[in-house]
Amino acid sequence: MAGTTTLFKARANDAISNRGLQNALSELPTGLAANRARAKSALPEFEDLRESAKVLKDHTLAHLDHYLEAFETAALAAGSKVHWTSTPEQARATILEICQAANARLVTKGKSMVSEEIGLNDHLEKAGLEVVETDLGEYLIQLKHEAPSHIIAPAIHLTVGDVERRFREAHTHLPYDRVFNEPADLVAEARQILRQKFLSADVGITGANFLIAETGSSIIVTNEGNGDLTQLLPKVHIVIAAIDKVLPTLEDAALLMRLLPRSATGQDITSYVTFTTGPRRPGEHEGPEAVHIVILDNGRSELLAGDKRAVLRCIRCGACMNHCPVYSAIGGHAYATVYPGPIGAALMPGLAGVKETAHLAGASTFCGACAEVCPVKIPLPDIMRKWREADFAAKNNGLLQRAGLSIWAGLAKRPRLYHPLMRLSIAALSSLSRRRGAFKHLPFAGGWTRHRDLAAPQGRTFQQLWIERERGGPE
Amino acid sequence: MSRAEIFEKVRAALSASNGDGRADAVAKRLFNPPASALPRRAQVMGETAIANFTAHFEAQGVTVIRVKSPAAVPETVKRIAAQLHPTSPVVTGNDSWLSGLPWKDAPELKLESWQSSVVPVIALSRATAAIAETGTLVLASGPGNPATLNYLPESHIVVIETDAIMGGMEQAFSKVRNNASLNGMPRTLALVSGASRTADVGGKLVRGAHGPKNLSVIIVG
Repeated sequence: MAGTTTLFKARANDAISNRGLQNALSELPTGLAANRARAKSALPEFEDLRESAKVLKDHTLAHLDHYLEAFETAALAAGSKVHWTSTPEQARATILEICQAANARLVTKGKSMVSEEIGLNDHLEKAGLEVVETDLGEYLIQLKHEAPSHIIAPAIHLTVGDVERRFREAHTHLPYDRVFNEPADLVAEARQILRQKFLSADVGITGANFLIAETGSSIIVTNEGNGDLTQLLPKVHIVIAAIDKVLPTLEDAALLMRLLPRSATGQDITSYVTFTTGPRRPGEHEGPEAVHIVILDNGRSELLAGDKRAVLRCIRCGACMNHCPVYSAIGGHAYATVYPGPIGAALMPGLAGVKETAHLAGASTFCGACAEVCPVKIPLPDIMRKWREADFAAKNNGLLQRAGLSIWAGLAKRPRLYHPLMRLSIAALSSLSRRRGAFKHLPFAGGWTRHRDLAAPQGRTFQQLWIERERGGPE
Repeated sequence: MSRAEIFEKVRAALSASNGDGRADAVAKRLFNPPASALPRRAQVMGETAIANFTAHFEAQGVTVIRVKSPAAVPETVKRIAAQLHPTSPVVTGNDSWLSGLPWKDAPELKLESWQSSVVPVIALSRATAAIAETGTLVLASGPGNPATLNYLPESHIVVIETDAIMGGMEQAFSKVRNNASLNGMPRTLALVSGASRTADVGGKLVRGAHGPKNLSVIIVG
């Protein structure tokens, strides 16, 4: 995992000074977030549904072993093969073996974050396979070998101009001076090119939004229909999904489908929601001859054990990103992890290690917007705080930071010492800055004052003001 | 191997033990799913359901045409096809209800049986159920209604009978589950709620990403 603290800091700085990216990100609050607000207000039961969804996911997680077994039994009965994998290495080796056994050369892919998690494309390409992403956003970033910057809008960081440039560079068989008047022209070109891939692929790989224990079905949720062509046309279909994707019954899928598209894009429902159950049946002239379902753990069983189990409720809608002030400022790539934003900060330490990724929990203002919009009520700031604690307990942070925190903690736990000291220093800072009301420079605060002034305290502490207020004194 | 390892870790995480009653709870819930609270918009029936279903689709830019009887379907299909793709045959599976319609009443219409080697330009299917709550067609795959026709053509025409238009997803699912001729879940159960679309290029909504650019719905009854 490349995501290290230094990389995150460097990328976050780059992101903030990247004007193109800032333009793309500036539309988040008026786009996806506003769409969600509209969809929510049009469904009066939305809040009740969130509570039901939380209860459903908690029930499923508490009985996960039995639901996974039930899913396996039903999937086998429908004629699918089920493969269990503990690690990304095992998962990608299993998928490569299936592709090689099918003598595959061309693999089409529907959008799958778990496939990003296991580094699937690189692995298959190194073995000589051609891998083509068919979700338009994924295709756009694949042309530049980039990672998704958002879990449902992977190319959200690209402008129309970026896309046009990429197409001219990549589709060299077409006249270079062809004219693109509008986004629809770019979509039409991608449709032409990807159609050929759909029709000639040997293996199709998709993720799954949900797995249904009752029926052994996998569900994909799309607007483009690319996932459907990916799983329907080739002779082999591989589903890659993590253990937390299983749900008991079709009714449970109905409940979560009322929340997923509304939370993600603000749609009541996406153009396509597709339930796939097993391979081609007798009398049919379509559908794969074999369906392989590869189920991945990758750290999730450990999350199940701890005090962060709620993070496994996630249905990957991306609402936490769309409403996060930090994500909105730096975009997804700065996080340098597969899952960005608040859910990434809450999930990644469980998948990729505390030492490697717990610093992401620091990239939060703890404003709580993420938890407020989460369709399954994951207490994201609480979980991030727990990762901060785990990181501190593992002594991963620097000596200076630890010393500073210890001194502050020592003081804060002694109110008789803390309050007078605060009163003194605040009064001192206030009088020092009396003329301007702000500092241009301050020892130990260079990181802040390099870019902006630090507002000076106004002379009294919050505690003092509070006591005065309670007594009905001056405010 | 990994299977045993994963189950062992999951059971350890849940402090599971034999006879802790969890297996029974799961079996019961799977066999008899608890009735979930349906939003009010999923509790509609009859003409209200038809009206909501139609309104949802029309808001998506989908053509919705209602005809009184099955006998009027061939003429309607002919008109839609003539407008969208005048030179292409309308490709369809061998759905027995569709086959039983009086196609001879629309002699100009060229209806063709689907072959897997052909990429259809315009296709015709019949939906098993429809959902008023979201404006959704539910198509069950099989030789009668190949799933390929939902996703591969430029244009797709779907016929739905009024008595199959239900309030919410749950009613549609139990209809599929209890349909003996489907023998449980079909291989592909497709919920279609609009034409194929994308917003991946500059956040602008474009119709016809990979699937049909045009969706037309014929309500019968």
